[in-house]
Amino acid sequence: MKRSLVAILVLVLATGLALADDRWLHIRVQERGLGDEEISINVPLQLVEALLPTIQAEGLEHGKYRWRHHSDLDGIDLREILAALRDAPDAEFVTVRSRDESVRVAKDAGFLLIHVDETDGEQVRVKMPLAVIDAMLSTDEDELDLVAALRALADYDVGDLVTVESDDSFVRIWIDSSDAGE
Amino acid sequence: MSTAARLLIAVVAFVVLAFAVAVGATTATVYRHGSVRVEVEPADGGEIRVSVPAGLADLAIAVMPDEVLSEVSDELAPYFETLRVAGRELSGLPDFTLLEVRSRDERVIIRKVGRKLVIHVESSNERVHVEVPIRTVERVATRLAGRRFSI
Repeated sequence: MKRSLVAILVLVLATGLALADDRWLHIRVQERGLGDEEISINVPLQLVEALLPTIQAEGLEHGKYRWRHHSDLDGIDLREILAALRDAPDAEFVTVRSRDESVRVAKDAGFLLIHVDETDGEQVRVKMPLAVIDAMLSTDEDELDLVAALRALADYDVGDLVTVESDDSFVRIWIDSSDAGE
Repeated sequence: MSTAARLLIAVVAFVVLAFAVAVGATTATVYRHGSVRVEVEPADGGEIRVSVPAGLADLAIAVMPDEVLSEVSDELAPYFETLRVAGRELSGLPDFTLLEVRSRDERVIIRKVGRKLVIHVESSNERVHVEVPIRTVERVATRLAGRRFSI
């Protein structure tokens, strides 16, 4: 379930949309190793907003994600969980410590924070404005409105939305007003 | 003037007229639709440069055999709408670098420059440069979708 939630959050962020005309979604991937590869993607949110409704994928239609399609979420009311998160006071909701990883999900000053630290050195950090959750829930019961969520996301300058760092790679996703993301 | 001379003048005039029409039509097509430019430079020498009016894409679709068109259309069908919208939206955006990949032995850049999408690849094996008018992407998707439903 944890992975599913993170995947959905990343999907919302990475498909990026939102749409103030001058807002850009940036993705940087640095692979350290033999090739020392560096990937840089810059997408105007205006473009993503227009494209998202045209993408038909499993569970994704007209810019809305039908979460009940996701087999990992059987028996789980995702909307209820998100609504509970939104309405709860600031707190640390989930703390999981195992031999392989530690997971922390918290709400702090209007943001949902997810921290995952694995023993192999991989670190995942997600920072999402709660207004995005409100926007996601502004549709039918079985759906999450990704377009509305990303529009909400565009209103924030929060720095990094997602970072994933491991021994051999670094991924960073953020939104700003620069076309080059420098 | 002899009949032979008149005939010769008529033939020459016809050839000149036909040439002028062809040049005019090509110029108008290039002006209206732009041109698709492809350059390939292998590291071991040689060079391929192709520049054709993007309007020829319409002709290519028109003369494409139904079975080939059907195969291509079926494969691209899920993306027709995305391609059409991408073409429309990209046209109105300022120039920007959509994608850049750099590694030790390769560099790939996809940029929106003016009314074109420019793809540039440099590796140890070759250099490839492609320029495609954005309107062509949109138009080809529309035409393919139209032909698909008419087969």
